[in-house]
Amino acid sequence: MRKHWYFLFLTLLISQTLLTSQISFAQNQKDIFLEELANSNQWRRLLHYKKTNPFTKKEHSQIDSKEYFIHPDGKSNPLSELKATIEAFQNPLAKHESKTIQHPQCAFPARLEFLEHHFTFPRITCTELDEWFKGLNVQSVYLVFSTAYPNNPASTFGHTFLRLSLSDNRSDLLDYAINFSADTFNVTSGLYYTLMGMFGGFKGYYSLEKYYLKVNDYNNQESRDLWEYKLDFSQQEIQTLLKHFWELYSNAHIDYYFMDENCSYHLLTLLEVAKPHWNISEPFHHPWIPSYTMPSDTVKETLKFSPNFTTEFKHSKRKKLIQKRDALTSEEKDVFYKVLSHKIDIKTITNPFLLDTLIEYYDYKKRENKIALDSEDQKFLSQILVQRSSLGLTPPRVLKDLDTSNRPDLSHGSASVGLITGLRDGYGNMGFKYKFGLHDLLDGNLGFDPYTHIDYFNFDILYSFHSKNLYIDKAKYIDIKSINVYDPIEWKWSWRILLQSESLESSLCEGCYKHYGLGGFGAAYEIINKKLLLYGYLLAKAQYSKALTKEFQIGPALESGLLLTLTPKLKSQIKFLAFDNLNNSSLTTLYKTYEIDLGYQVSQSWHLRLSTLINPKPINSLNTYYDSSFLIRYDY
Amino acid sequence: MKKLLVIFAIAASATVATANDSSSGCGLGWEVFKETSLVSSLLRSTTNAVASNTIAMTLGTSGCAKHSIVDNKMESLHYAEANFHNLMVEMAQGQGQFVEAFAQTLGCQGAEKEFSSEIQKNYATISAASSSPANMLTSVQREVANNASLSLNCRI
Repeated sequence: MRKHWYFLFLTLLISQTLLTSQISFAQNQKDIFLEELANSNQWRRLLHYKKTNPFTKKEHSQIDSKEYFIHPDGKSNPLSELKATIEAFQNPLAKHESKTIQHPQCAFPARLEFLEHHFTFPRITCTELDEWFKGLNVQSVYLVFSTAYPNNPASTFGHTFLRLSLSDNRSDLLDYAINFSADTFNVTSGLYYTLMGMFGGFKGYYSLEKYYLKVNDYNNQESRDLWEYKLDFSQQEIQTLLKHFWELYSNAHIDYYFMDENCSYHLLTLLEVAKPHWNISEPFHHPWIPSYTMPSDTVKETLKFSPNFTTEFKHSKRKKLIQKRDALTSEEKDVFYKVLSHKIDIKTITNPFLLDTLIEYYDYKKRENKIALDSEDQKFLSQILVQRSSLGLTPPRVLKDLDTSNRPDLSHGSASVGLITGLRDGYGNMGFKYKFGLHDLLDGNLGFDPYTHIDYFNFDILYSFHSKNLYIDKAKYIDIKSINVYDPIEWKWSWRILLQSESLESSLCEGCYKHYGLGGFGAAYEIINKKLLLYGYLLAKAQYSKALTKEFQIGPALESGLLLTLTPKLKSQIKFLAFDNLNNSSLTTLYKTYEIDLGYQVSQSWHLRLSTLINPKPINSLNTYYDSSFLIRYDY
Repeated sequence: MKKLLVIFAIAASATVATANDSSSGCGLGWEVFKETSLVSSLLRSTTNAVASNTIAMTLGTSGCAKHSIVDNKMESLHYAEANFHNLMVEMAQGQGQFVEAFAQTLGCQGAEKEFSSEIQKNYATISAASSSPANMLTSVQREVANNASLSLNCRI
């Protein structure tokens, strides 16, 4: 009798243990599965997770709004967020509050799409999301690059956004754009704007707007070109992209950092969610190292994964105006300029093309003036338009092709490393050059607006065979030449800024440097059919050097150059700099230097440069008489 | 944890020459769009679209005019507001990408050339009535309605 009880007890115990271990085994399996899912690439991409510390495995989401996370620790714990999301999705009564109140499934449709591969959830109707989708029959996705806007440092390197092309056979203008940008509370320029933009003072948001707003802003308002790259996206991928955009629009803001996490960077993290095999944002993610996410580089990186892209070009208003003006006959040009200066009776002009050019001019002038012409000009423009409307369509005229050489994916690499070998006052040297960026007058034209000259953080390290020393020969912090070529249509100043440190290394003075800066205004002229550019700047220069007799030097300077564009890849320049040190007690001895350069852009990755600097009257033995160097540079 | 950066050069260049551009996005801020319905915030045009658009345009921070995706009645109005200056030019010229898209927002898809030509013929009347984008739109709609062929081809 006792044996039976004992036997029953043992069976129960064994089966109970087996059952519990099976349940805990299953539980373990489930836990392991959830952990794997939480650490999967796709889940981390949906949450915009990035490693914050290059040494530890620590990571967190780059999204800064708490509404983007269902779990209070969701920003740094992907597993908690996953569990909380699953729980919320499974609860038909759950509510998620952000810009509005919706069920979590509706607030996070891309997460839903991802998790439905592994779980079943109750069906929830999302009225707002569905209504939104109804109007978005997207057939293609474009990455769009707008070329540089030189008058705002935030836009010197261009901007990128997306174009969603609809399948309704209507104009491009009626498509949609997805944009990531900062809300700057109406501040649009100045030091405050710059500092806030650099250090995350503004919040960044994703937005959707009609494409005509973009074409208007960039092409017409700011006279910037648009380059549209059609990406390789399937219908399913487009749906995922739109769902993720909805998640971001509804719930996210990201602190905007102009340098690395800028407009271009956060487009990449959006695109990657729809494209698991694309790895486009990671190359621009450098925790702890200052880096700049160059919009053109983000285009190049994206096109690596979409090699069958096609391009479309939308020109700026200014380019169109110049094109039309250049197509005027000399008689027409006479009348054109006469109208500009005297406003002759417009009813006497019955030439539609000439009227079009005048219209283009006044409309351009209006945009430059923030859409306001003085009342006299506005009245005149209205008269021209009425006159034009009585003349039907413009007969076709042969126009010179627009310049399309600024396509960003064709540019040479923005950063570079190079090997230098040189001769300075009879003594040889060899060295290494590092360039953070970007492009000067002697670099290959392709991929940039003409006469772009923006260099920053360039360092030359040389080994002198004479002094047997290795030292930093030159540190260029910022070097900008803004070149606005003279055109009778409008006057624009050119300007210049340079901040640089140079070594005065010699056997007499080890570790000696001079530091200087110069800045000012000037003008530029194109001659001989755009082959030759003559430019000049009137500058103020200030210099400090412990090693020179005159430690602190300040005074006016003149810089002038003649640039010869033999081919878009081969350039030559002669430059002249004169500086009058007002701190000099003796009669003004102008400090003059001449420079001759030859640059050849072999390809997007390789560049050769020959430079010679001549100082015919060195003030003392610390200034060189001549300095020649040859550089082989790798652009990446 | 963000890194410290050398800013003097950039700050210097920033203060040397800065001007407005639209890359910083919508200047009017999210306060304008905190509405009850997410769809309405994403979709609808702000009721003071004409005023805000003008202000935004004057400041050079356009990009705020939201639009209706599903409410087609508003599409032509939003379009007229945002593209007023382009339209005043292209309507006088009888052709162009902006006036053709305008025709499409008015339901004249397929009859864009006819629309542009007809509008050009009546430009003087339209221009006189175009004290605002909304008035311009009304004037254009009137011309379309008065034209036998267009009123057939356009589904306003």
